[in-house]
Amino acid sequence: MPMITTTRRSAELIKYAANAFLATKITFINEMADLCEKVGANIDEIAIGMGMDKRIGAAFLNAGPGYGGSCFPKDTMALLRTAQECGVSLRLVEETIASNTSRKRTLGNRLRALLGETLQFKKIAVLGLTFKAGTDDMRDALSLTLIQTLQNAGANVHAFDPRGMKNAHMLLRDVTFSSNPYECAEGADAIVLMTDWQSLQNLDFKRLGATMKRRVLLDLRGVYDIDTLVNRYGFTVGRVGHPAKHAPENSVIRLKRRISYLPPGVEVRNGLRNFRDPSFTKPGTASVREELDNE
Amino acid sequence: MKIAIIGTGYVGLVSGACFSAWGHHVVCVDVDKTRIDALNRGEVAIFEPGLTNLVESNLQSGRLQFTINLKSAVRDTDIVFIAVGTPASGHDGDADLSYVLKAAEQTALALCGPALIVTKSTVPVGSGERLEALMRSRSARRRLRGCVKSLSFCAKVRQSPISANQTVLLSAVIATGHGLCFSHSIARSLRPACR
Repeated sequence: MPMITTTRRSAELIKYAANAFLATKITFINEMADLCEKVGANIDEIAIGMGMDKRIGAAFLNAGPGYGGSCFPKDTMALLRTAQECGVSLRLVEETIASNTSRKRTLGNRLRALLGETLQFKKIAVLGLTFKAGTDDMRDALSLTLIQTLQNAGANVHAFDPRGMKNAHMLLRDVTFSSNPYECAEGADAIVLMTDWQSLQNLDFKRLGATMKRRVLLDLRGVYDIDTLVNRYGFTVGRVGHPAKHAPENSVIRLKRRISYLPPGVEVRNGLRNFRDPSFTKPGTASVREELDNE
Repeated sequence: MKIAIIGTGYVGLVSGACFSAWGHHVVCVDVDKTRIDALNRGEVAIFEPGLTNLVESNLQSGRLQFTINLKSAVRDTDIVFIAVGTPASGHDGDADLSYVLKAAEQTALALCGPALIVTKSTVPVGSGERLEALMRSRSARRRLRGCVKSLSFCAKVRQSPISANQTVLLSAVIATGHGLCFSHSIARSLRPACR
C-alpha cells in the first residue's frame, strides 16, 4: 500500500488540489467538445489521442454535461474561498467553476436546438438522474439543474434512474418517475441521457422509437453510436462533441417547418436549392442546403 | 486494531466496512438513530456495489458494530476517523466545519487512552491545527498522541472493497516526535491482514 508522509497542511491541500484539478480536466474536455461540434471533429477521438499521452492520462476525459456530485462543486468553491482569504488568485479554478455553471445551465438550449422548437408542453424523458453511474448519490446532480430548466420552459418531465429515484424524489417536484426507461419514454418528444448507467446503454431503440412521439435523443454522456441510431432507428441525435445528426425523414419535417418561418420578402429560388440564410442556422444543426444534400 | 469511525455516509461506512473486512475491529458512530438501527439490521441505505454483503458478513462476525454512543465507541479505541460531512455553507462556498468540530470535541472528551485522530473529511487548510488545539483543550489527560489528516481517493475506495489495497493513507507530522512514530505504526497496522 503506497504511503507518503507530508505536513498536515499539505495533506489538507492535496485533497482540494486534486479535486480542483480533476474538475478542471473535465471542464477542459467539455470545452474541447464544444469546439468539436463547430469544426467537425470527433471528441471521442480527441480524448483517445490526448489520453495516450502519458503526461495527460486517459481518465476524466469523457466530455459530458459538466461535473456535479458531492465533491467537486463544494471543494472547488471552498478552495477558491481559502485562496481569496489569503489574497491569492486562482484564476483557473475560478474559470472552471464559471464554465461548468454556465454549461449546466445551458443544457436546455441543446435540447431546444435539437428539437428545433420550444420546449413548452413537450414531454421530455430524462434517463439517469444520479451525478454518476454506480451510485444513488443525488447531491449536486446535474439532472437537477437540467430538470429545473426544462420545467421553467414549460416542459413535462418524466424520469427514470436505476438506483437514484428514492433520493431524487426528495429533491424534485412535479416530475413523474417511471419504473423503467420504456415507460418513461412513451409518448415523449425527446429523451435526454444524463447518467451513463450500464443498463441505459443497451436499450432497445426499436421499442423506444415505436412509442415516442418524436424520435429525438440528446446523449449527454456520449454512449450511443450516432450512425446506428440515425440510420437504423430513425432518431435525430445530439451528442456532446459531435455535430447533431438528423434522421432523414426528420430533416424533411424540420425543413417544412422552417419554410413556414421565412420572413416576408425572402426569395426562394430553384426549389430551395439556392437558399441559404445563416440566421436560421441554430447551434448544432445543419443549414438548409446541407439538410437537402443529406436527404 | 480497534477503530472508531464517526459518520456513516459514503465515506465513513465504506471505510468502516473495508477495515473490518481486513480484520480490524470497527465501531461506526452516527447521530441518526434510525440509520444506526437499520445498519445493525444489515440494511444499507446507500448504494455502493458490494457494500451490503460486506456490512452483513462483518456484522455477523462481530468485527463491525454500529452505535449512536460516541463515548463508548471512542473511549478505548486506537484510532478515530472523523468522516462527517463538510458541506458548503452560505453563499460564499466556505466549508461548514461544524460537524467536524463537534465530532472532534466529543472525541476528545471521551478518549481514555492514547489514540490517533484521522480527519477523513475534506477540510480547509489549517483545520488540523484548529482541531488539535480544540481537542487538547478538551482532553484533560493529555492523551492526544497524534492528529493527522488522511485522505483516500474516493474512486479507489469505491472499487471492490476487498481489493481496495491501493488506498493511499497520508499521515501528517505534528509537533511532537511521538506523533510521527505513532502515526506511522498505526498506519502500517491498518494494512490488510493478508498482506
